[in-house]
Amino acid sequence: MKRRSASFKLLGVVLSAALLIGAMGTFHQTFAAPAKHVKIGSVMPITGPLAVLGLAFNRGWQLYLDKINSQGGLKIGDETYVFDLISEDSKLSAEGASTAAKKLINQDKVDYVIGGIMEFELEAIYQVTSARKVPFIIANINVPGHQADVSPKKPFLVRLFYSHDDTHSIDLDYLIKTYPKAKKMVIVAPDVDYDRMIEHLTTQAKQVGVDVAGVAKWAFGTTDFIPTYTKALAMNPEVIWAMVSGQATYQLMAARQLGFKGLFISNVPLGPEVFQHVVNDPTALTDVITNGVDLSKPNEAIKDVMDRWQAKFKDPFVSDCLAAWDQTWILTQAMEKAKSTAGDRVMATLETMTAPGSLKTCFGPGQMGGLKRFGVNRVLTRPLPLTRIMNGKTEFIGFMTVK
Amino acid sequence: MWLQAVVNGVALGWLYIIMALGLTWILSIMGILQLAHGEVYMIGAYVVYYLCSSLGLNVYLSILISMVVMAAFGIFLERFLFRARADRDPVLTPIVVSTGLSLIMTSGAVAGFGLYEKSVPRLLYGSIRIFGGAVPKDRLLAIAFSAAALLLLFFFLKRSRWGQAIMASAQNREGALLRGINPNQMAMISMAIGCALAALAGALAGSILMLQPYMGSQPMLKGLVIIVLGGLGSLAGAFVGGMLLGLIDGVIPVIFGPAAAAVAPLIVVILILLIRPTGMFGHE
Amino acid sequence: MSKKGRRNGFALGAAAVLALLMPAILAHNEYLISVLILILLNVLMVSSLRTIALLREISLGHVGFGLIGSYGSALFMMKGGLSFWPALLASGLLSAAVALALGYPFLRVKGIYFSILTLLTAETFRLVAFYWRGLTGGTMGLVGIPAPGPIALPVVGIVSFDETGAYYYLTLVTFAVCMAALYLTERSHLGFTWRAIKNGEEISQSVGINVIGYKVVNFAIASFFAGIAGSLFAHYQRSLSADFTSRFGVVTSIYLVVYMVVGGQGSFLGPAIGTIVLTVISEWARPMKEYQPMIIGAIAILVVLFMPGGLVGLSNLVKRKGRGPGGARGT
Repeated sequence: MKRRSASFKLLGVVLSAALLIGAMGTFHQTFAAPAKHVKIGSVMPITGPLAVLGLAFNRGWQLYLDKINSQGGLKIGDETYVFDLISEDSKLSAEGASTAAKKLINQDKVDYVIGGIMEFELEAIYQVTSARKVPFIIANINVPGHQADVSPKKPFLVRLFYSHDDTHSIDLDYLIKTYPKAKKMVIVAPDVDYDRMIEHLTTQAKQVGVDVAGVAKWAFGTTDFIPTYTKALAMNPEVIWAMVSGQATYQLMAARQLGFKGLFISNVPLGPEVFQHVVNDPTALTDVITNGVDLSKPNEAIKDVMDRWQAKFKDPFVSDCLAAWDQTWILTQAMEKAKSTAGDRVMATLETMTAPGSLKTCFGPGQMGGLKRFGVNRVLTRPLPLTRIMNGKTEFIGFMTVK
Repeated sequence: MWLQAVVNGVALGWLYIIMALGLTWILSIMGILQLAHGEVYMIGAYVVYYLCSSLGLNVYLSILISMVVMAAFGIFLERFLFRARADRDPVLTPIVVSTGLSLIMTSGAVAGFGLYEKSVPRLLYGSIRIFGGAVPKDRLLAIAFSAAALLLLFFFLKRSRWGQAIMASAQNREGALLRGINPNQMAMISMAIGCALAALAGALAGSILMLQPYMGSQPMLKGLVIIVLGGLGSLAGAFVGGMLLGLIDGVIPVIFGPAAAAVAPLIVVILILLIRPTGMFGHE
Repeated sequence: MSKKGRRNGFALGAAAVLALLMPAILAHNEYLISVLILILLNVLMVSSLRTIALLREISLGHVGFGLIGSYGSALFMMKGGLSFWPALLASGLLSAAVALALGYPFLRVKGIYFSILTLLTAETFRLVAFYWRGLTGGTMGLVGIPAPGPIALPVVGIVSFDETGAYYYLTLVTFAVCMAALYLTERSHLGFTWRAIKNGEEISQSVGINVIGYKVVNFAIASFFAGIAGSLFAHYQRSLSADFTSRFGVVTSIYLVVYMVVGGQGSFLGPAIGTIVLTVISEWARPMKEYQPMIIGAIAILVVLFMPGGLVGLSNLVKRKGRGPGGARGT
């Protein structure tokens, strides 16, 4: 009795699996439409702790593509191109990112892949896209110059996201101008390969007369910053530089609670509205610098994005979507210049757009660059916002050009 | 710096203790590993947020209401999801059910509250100076709340009939059954208490630390570590274990850095388990 | 051959043919084949987890041995100069060795404590791999893991394992061998003794069975296969990372248990059924985006509450209903 049911069970299992998996393939097939379609596949963590970013980026791409499509599509010569965005979840793991990229390429037959937040996602995605020669646009990187970043050895890879250390000179200049007496800095950074950026910042700070007294590192995933800031404040800094961290709001709270009264710099695009929303201690919201946009004084381009967001989604605007909007915008700008939507032509064209102002972005005119540092001109450079929060009020300083 | 670290450790420790208490009760009385306990903590925090921001209630009142709501939720869970049945594996079924529950609750929190970062209103502003270090006042308040909850629980267990029945159940399930104690009632009460405690811890954490849908997984792990350190079913054990872990988490990152901080508690627990398999104060 | 034996062999043969033809059936869609490979690896992990469950112990740290296998195999090839098959075997043996070393103290701990202990141990392994830059690349991860070297086969010529289709067959063959080994072990004297220990530890002890010895061997065997699965994963993915959300995190360990229970841990095929069904549903539910985890959670809860024997029990359930009040006898 047992044997028979076991053998049929086995057969049943394998048959069903075959049917199900095969059916999966047909179920997801897209049907050919009359107009020409350019398919962009996105791989972002849309579940898990970084889902805010993943969803914000997806929305940014979608909003721009909606705009282009509503205008009838992109006209190149006699052809009109309509854009489709297909989003997949990377589940914030290399395996998930890899599977998502494979689905997009093999099943959905996308022409471009865009996405990634963590470096291990970028590496996993690139492994898949490079094998099939599908262009991969890096949407975010925490550590510029990481092995997952662009390089001459990696064709079909471009980063349409700025390098975080571009903020160093901007923020330091503001520091010495507005807080001339602050000479001692402590860097607080997550313990994930930021060493080169830390060294870079230390050197740059020294050049303008600011001494980095030490570095306090915290484990990725920390929720309580009091221990880290206990360590940091023991070095008696006048300035705290919270390096590239989405948790800067919580870090600020911890620092102020422990009695830190000096300048707090967060060089990540966290908007001042997030600070005001999350920081539940009003006395903390002073002497804070962030490289986020002041959404109460948007320029025209940013206002357009915000309006479209409000029209389509019910929840509050997340300013990270601006970077994403720019990425699809830049892509279409390159397509127009290349007079083609083909991946290799567009990638090659992007590399030539290095003259200042070649590219339009929400933050101002930008261009591609990076030959000296990365060996190829495949990294976006554009103005970076600088905002100060004083006594709970936002002061937008401007969109600063990167030197 | 040392003293500051120690004080922080103690404050953290109390939050952990409350988390662990709930978890250890559920584990020892119902014999199940409630892997969604971290999500109960998280929802408890979100309930407080909702009550404060949308209904404008006072934060302390909100915390109380949240505890009641989550206790009721706990009873619902016990009745419909976790009640043991003859044909269900007593160990594995709850693991799968609570895992599924955890997935549903986190997705639900994302759907219901969105991903945009929020925070529970601060309980108290400012810090006071203790031995030269600044201690945030709200952490001291959290310690006070947690201590009060612990004391209340202690009196409930030692002085009331329900409490003694629960203690008996925790120490020896079969024996308690023989004495006519209704295991279903015990289960319901322990789930209610456990979830209320988790909600309290979550509300406090939402104010002191952060509020987001995935905030429950780390404390859950810490709760597990504490149960093991202290031993199943033991109040004293949960207390000592929580304090120990809080101190480790408060002091080691300051002195040694993040890598050691992550590994140290695990090594300590593994060693304790190997030396004394039922935990420091545990019963068989 | 008996009627039962013939039916059994026929079903097995048909399943084998189907499995061999899968890549063609799937029209060489690399994504679907890669899902298949991951299914095979997970089934192997869950089946070896079930081996431990034969002793009525639930290990929540099985991925820890997978991690040892993955990093071990990668480093054997990259730094130790071994070629693929020796590295595969060596990594399995390494995992087994670690399990042997830890087994004696670990298996004295019982029940829920054992589960928690294994969970924490796997987390420790993961954190060590995450932070030890010199050995595993640390937070940067390990990249550039080589694929198995190409081999020359009679009809097909040179086969390169860079390609997903080829790797599928490699995995399938290894998988079949491992599953056969697990199946035979379970039905052997060893497996019989394990079941005896599960049903009565003290009695077994009293008839002279070295209970702890058998438990440790069980643990080592299960970990061996976890290591093999880990190695196959490493040379397929070609890079490894040990952060919290990776394959080596706590969440995966728990998912393995869920696959096992949803499939039905009473049957040897349970893990396979559970893994296949939940993976396929998970992939199918991709359009649900951020609600996909909710679906999996709901399904897991429903199966485990209303189908106590797991999905495997479904056929029994159907049979029982069909047979009428007599009920199933002896199944």
